[in-house]
Amino acid sequence: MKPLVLAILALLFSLHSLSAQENFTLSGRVSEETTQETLIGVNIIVPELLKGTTTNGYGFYSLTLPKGVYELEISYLGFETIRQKIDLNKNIKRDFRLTEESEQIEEVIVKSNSTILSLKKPEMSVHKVNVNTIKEMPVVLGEVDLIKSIQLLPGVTSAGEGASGFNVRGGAEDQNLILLDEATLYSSSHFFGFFSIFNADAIKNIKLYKGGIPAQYGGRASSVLDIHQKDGNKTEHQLTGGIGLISSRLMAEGPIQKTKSSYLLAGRSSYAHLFLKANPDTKDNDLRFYDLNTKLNFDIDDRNKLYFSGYFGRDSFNIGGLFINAYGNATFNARWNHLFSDQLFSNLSVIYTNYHYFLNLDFIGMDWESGIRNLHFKYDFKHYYAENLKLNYGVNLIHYHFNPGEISPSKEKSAVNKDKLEQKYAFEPAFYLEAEQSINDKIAINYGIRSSFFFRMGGQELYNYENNQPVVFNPQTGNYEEGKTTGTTYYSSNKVIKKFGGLEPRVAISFKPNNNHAFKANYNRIYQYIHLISNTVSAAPLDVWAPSGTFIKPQIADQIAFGYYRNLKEEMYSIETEAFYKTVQNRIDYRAGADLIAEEQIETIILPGKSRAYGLELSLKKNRGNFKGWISYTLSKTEQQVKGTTPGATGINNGEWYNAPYDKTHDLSITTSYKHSEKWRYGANFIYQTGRPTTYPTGQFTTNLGGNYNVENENITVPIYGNRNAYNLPAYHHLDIAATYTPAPKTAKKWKGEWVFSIYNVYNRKNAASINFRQNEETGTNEAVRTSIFGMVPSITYNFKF
Amino acid sequence: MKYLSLFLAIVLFSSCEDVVDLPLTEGPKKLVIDANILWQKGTDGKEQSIRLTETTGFYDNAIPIATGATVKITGNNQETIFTEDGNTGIYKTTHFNPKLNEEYTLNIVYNSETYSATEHLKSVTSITHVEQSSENFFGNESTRVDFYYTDPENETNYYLEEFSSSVNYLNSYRVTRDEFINGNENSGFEIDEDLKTGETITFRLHGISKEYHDYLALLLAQTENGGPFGTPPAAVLGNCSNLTNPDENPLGYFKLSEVSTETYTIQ
Repeated sequence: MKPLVLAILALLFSLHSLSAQENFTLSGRVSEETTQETLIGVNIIVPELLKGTTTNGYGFYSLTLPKGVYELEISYLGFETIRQKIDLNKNIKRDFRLTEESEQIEEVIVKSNSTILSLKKPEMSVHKVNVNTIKEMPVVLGEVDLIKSIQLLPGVTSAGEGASGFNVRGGAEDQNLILLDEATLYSSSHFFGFFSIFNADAIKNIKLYKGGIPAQYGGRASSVLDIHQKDGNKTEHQLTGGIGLISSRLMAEGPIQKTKSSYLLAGRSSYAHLFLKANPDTKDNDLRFYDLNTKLNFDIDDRNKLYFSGYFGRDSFNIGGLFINAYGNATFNARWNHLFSDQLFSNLSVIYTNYHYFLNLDFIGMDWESGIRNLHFKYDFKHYYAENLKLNYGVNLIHYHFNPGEISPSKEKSAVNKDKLEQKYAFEPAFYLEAEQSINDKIAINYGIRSSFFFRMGGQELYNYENNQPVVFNPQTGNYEEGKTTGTTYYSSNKVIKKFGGLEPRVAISFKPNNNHAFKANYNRIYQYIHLISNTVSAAPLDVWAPSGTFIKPQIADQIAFGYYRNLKEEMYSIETEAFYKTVQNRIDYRAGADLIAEEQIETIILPGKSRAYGLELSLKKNRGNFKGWISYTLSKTEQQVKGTTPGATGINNGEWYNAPYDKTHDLSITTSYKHSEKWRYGANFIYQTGRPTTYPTGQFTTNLGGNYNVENENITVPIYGNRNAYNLPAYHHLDIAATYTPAPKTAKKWKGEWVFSIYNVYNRKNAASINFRQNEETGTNEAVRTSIFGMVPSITYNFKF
Repeated sequence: MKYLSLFLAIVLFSSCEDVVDLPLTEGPKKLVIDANILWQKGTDGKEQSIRLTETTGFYDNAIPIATGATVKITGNNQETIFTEDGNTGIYKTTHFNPKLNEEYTLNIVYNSETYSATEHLKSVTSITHVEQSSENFFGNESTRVDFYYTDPENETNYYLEEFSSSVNYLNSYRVTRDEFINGNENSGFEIDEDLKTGETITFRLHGISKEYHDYLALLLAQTENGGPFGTPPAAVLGNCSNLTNPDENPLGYFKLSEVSTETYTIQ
């Protein structure tokens, strides 16, 4: 790694000569005109120099140029471009306010220079998703769903309907870093995956990194989903809301002190429980989810800003008091933006996240609790050193507390003993330094390094195993079995049980021969120290997270990607093509039939292996006009391999590569929207995916556990399953349509309303969520049973704002 | 109410199931050893039987039997020969000599290949009493029957709970362990709205080994409806091995249990 560090230093020194010129800095913030909501990713361009910058996550920009008079262009998709002359003869602070593009202007093709920057930037494998686009997409039961919408992007899939989470470029669900205002979320869905936990009204910006992940981020092998909440309207009080079939939402925002500070409070709740309560037969049942998003922000002065934000979401089920289940995320964070100078921006964050799972099984008399908590300190700097050099650096420290499970009797007459699985603790510190540098008008590179560590701390007992093998292979039966324990060792809480660490280089380069096309490439290495222990087809809410330690090593992902980007017809269309190859070391799988619930010795059920994924992504986008949309297609392969490590051991599928559960050979999405008139807008989505890999039986056998072999109805039929994931479910596809009706406002009142009508799965395709094999309870014959989740689902939603 | 049920149908577990025609390829044939030795409390346990069958295609209706094998069990200082009952694939004895916690070895010769398995006869605690109560699920009154037993405190115990009732064609099975209930009074229970007055339910509690518990948990998982939160299907490999050809292990299990049984008539 030393040569890389030296190379970075050499490049930095070579730039020193530049600063000898007389340079001045233009800096400030860009926000929306009426609400003064800061805007992220706005282009500030000097067309004559083909140079510029974009606003950061807090709306701040800084641009250092030689003394001179420049024409500036401030442009942002969906907003009117500002052009302004500026005489840069001293350091200047200037804030810009953008107004939303009025409908007429959209028809006139105004050539903006905004794509110059995106082509020139080495940043690739990144998608920004517009919240308004998401709101108009047809979705199941009209619930606006951020997670479902990112699944329409190339390289992003999911395990299917009703499956929580998403898979990026052959990555597992636990390899996505999901950040809401910088706080890590440990689950992204409600109702076991039917709905996402994000209230779209409260969301300002969504960015998904599939690769080329900046050094600032770490800890998850496959992707970063960076979501920013709105700050709240700084000029006037406003209510936004919607009424849907499943849930309703309401958001209040407004100034605390006009233009200086603001608040935002958004709530969303489902209301199935109200219907349950109203019926005497079902009044003891409850079924609901809700979210609460809050944010406060204060402009202390030009150089200092404070933000407080929080999220609280829960799913709650109560089936007649017999089965009570509640789980969700809670996060709180405090952030301080400070400008050390016009060129040095900093942000200090303190973040607390708690994912909590509670289950009460009254018919057994048992309470169960599990979860993960973390406290996270971050100090990030963005140094706008020169127009052609930006430096990002910072430090990070996460403290984890894992509660794999705590069990207690829920009533007096309960057979259950109080028990607590060993609590686990860890620290994850990291440092990073990254440079964004343009070499000349055509070539730009980002290069950086992240150094991360993981300290698994004591405060717990650990099992010891014979020959240090928690899992042993029994050659006699061909089964993997639990290793033999030879006792336990207690580690005191100030002792480090196991230490890991590594350097994570991140490099990206772009070459832009002219203003219409560009070639890019990137490489990243990422360490992932925590693992979601899940042996179900789709991640379930009670899955627990486990830290790396004596028997589980950190996952190490290496990804390389190449891309070609082209703009056509004055940026009316854009084409993106990317190819990627990714490997993950120490990816775990599970021995056959491993039961993970309340498992103290997780190491005895896992088998270490590796995974690889490669693919080609194509997307064609129409960016302007009444008819907009994109087509994305991904051809990919994702495989895992678990080899036998001891003599005679077979591994999984005899140590051969096998399909990962989320391998999807073909993935096609077509997303379109059409603006018919001021009143009517239409949208349609079509999705086609190869069915997910599954295992089918190659035969059957019979057993009679009670030994009454002649009693026909006591014979159990057992399917014999062959190699893991050797087959695929039937292809998954559906077409969804939506129409949005915006009535013309009757008076000049502020009230704005719109109706969204949608039909999910128009041609009522019965997509297989799974195919199971069973003995028919009446006839006793064997059959294959398809479980499908959503047929055709129509829905209606009313949204309002005043 | 109609709206509500629609609502729940969509939202809660809005899945719909249908039988599909799915062609499957058949794997190689294997011997299946169904050797369940049960020592019913209060009996001498001398009468025992073992069944040998072969695997077959998943949709086939008839299970091929394995006839003409020699079957014996050694243990407790005795060798017990099981003789085939005609050509049924069922091999019987009336001379088995059961002893708790004793190690037994099963030996089978079939089609000139030798198969073997070793297991302990696991003891079980007695069923102490039965209680009947009712539970309400979404307005439906269901009968709950609890069969109580006290887990021995100073042992690690694994159980197979078997229920057969006059209202269901198939029995239901559950495996449990004493991890969370060690030393306590626990119950095996069934909740069923069809259990009306006069119907009967029989509960059998088998003492089993940890290995058999794990095997059966996996086996039962294969026979249940998986759904999105089910564990992925997997091969169910038992404790029997092929000594002649180690690459061709048989399926099935050699298991020996003490069993406690109670039949209850719904009041």
